[in-house]
Amino acid sequence: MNGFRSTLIEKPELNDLNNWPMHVDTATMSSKNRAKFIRNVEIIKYFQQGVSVKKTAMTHNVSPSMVYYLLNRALGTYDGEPPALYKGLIPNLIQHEKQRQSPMPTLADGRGSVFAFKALLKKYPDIEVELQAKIKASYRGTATSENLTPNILHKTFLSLLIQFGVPKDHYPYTTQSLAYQSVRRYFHDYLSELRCPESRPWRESISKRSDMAFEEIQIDEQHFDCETAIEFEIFGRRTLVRVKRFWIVMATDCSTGCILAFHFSINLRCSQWDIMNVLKQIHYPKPKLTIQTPSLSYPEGPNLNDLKAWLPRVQIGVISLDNDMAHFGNNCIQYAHDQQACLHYGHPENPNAREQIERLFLMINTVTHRHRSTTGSHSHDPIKESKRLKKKPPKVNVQTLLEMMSIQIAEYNQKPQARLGGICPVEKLKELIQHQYYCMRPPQAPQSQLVKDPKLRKLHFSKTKKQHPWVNFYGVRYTVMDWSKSVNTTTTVSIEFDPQDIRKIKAYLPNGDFIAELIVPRMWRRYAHGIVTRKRIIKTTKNLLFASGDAFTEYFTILQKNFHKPSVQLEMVRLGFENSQSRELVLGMVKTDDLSEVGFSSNSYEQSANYISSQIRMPWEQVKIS
Amino acid sequence: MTKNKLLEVMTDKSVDFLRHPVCHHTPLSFRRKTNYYEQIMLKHPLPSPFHSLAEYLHGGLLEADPSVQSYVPQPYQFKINGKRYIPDVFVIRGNQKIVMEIKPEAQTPFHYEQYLEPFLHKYQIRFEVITNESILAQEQKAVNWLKIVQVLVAANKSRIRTTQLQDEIMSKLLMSDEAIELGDFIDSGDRQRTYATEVAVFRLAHAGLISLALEQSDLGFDTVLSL
Repeated sequence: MNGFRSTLIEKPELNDLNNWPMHVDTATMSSKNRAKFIRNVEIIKYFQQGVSVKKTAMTHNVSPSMVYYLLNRALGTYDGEPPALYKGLIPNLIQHEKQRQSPMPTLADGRGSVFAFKALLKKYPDIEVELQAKIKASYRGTATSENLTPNILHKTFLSLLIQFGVPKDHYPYTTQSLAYQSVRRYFHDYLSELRCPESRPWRESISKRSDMAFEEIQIDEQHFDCETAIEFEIFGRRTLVRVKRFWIVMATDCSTGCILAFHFSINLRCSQWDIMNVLKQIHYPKPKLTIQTPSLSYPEGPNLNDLKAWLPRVQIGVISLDNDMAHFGNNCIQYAHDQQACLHYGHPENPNAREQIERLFLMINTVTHRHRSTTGSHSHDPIKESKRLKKKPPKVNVQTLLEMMSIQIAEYNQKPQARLGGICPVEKLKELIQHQYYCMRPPQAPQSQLVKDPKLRKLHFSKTKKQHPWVNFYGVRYTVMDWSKSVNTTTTVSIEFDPQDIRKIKAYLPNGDFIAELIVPRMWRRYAHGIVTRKRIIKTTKNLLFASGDAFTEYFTILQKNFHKPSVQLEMVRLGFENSQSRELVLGMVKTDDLSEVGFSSNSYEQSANYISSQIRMPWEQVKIS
Repeated sequence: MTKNKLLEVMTDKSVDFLRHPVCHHTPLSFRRKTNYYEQIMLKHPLPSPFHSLAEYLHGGLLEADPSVQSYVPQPYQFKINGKRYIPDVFVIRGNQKIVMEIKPEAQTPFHYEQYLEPFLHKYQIRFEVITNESILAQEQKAVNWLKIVQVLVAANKSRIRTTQLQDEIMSKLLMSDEAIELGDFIDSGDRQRTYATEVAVFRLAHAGLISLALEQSDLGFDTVLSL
């Protein structure tokens, strides 16, 4: 250590307190320490004014050695480091790591054991390496790692002392506890050191900075607690069931933070069709809902529908998704490629890479309740459902829930944000599109509900029977309704379909020429159904189909039998929700003379429908939401 | 045992395949573990998988280089010392065929280089290791070119014809003494009207007939065009 005199010779300007940079905040000190600090500053000031050390000490009622001590603390240097200055005048502040000065205590020479443990580890570094390795192994928390406690570590320490030949009359054998407290403190200190996050090299990425509309769109979904009840009416009997959870899928533009699309899914799992729904809304935003709930209304102001004319022409840059299986659906990937967008699946377990969408879910989480784990709320969860609500849950219409979410998102899009310069996300998006450069797409065909199937399907022709050609699609044979372009040989076709209603599909040649519309067999025509419903019906009624020949009846019978199960109740709600928009099957292209083969007789269909409905009522006829 | 006996081509052992590879499918399990990008490119007009940001940006830089005719990401699968290894990209530049591996500077020299270089040399293919840092230093350029690629892929799909417009742009650039910006060809008030001209400019730049100043700034109306 160099004393204060050598510092003052090297830097004479430090002999004036006005030249010391002030970097100590006295407001954060305790009143006792603040008083002592001010006294210390006064002592230095007196010394610098040329007052003798003895007189300075007398004036401030301290010993002369205290004056020298303070001067050395403030102006002395250690290992070439700059002097501590004001920091050195803070009372009780440890400036440098302390070390043991005197020899290690032995049984013959009974000295105190201050910093003896540290000195021991310095003398025998292998002991420290072994101790650290043991704590590290425990910290990793693998299945085979030891559940380490200070007591166990102390026993290891004692065995290491023997292993490395520490003399039996030296420290720690001089103490009664054999340095137990030192080992305990070392254990906790090193553990907290391991727990500290490591600083990683950071680089500003241009790829993450976006000032262009649709340069990056982040999509994610989250499970929410619904905690509400829906009332079913089955054969005149009302049953109250609780739909506990639902999914929300959202898409946001990173440059503006605008929520471009959202989808509400009452389902056990989020599927690729939910993601597709959101992807389609990016260019063609959904119109505002017709609010049916009294006292609810959309906020007045700009909304995404004002940009309807521009949005379809904006090229999407990157679509950021996480590595959920639903995001790897072939239909999602195909759709992104059709839009010439780049698909980006980030590193697993790294939600911060998509901070924009995660922040939006955080915004929604403040008004809803999300379980802390997959098994539900902890008994001490401060925001868990109250006992009163548990006994008598509030009844909320599914439609109302959807309307509330839609209004909440519309409000967010219209709320001015400081980071956007005091304007709302929708206005910012409008500004970017109308006044800034954005990548442009070629003119697009009008919006269509149809989705292109990524798989090429085979168009089959029967060699033995006289029947229309067909295509197998999601487990069912679809027959050609009417040829627009005759195809004579067996060929592969690409299919376009509406994922909400797959009763009718369109077939195209690989070069893009339209061939024909294909229709599902009669037993599947009764209700509009999506791919999810079709798959579930086929899976559930696989062995029962031949018995009655009506897949819908079989499926609804099974649902009704298992109505007490929450999963079935959820499925009933989903079916009701899927069928809320009644769709008519148009068979306009069927030739009247070919009805027996490719169409169906309306009379016989009505008869069979009446017969079936007399046997069982369909879920969407039964669901009455109150 | 010689070093080359340790190396084995797992996909196809024919010489023709080595010189004209196809993109190796990335399994779903690996796509879920890595920082995965997928985009249809111009010089590889199929969904192109990239396993990191550096690889994706490198794709953009290859598109920007007019001397590169085509490239194939994830071209072959080798087995080296019993471990599977897929190089990052196969590039055809002029008469040269190059297999490239993109690695962080800290992981160089690449330990498979000793096996790959003599093996590929037999088929007149060069092996190169590029560092992530050298690619990330040109991030701005790469990001801009990836945007241009998206515009051009969409235009090609819609069969937008721009031959005449390209000639007009070239003649305008030849006759002009002052610097011409992209905004001079694009009507910012009616983008739809000048869409074909915008595509024509990008096509000329992609072919290397004109150059765009994209190294330092974002693609925009003020991007400077030069011959």
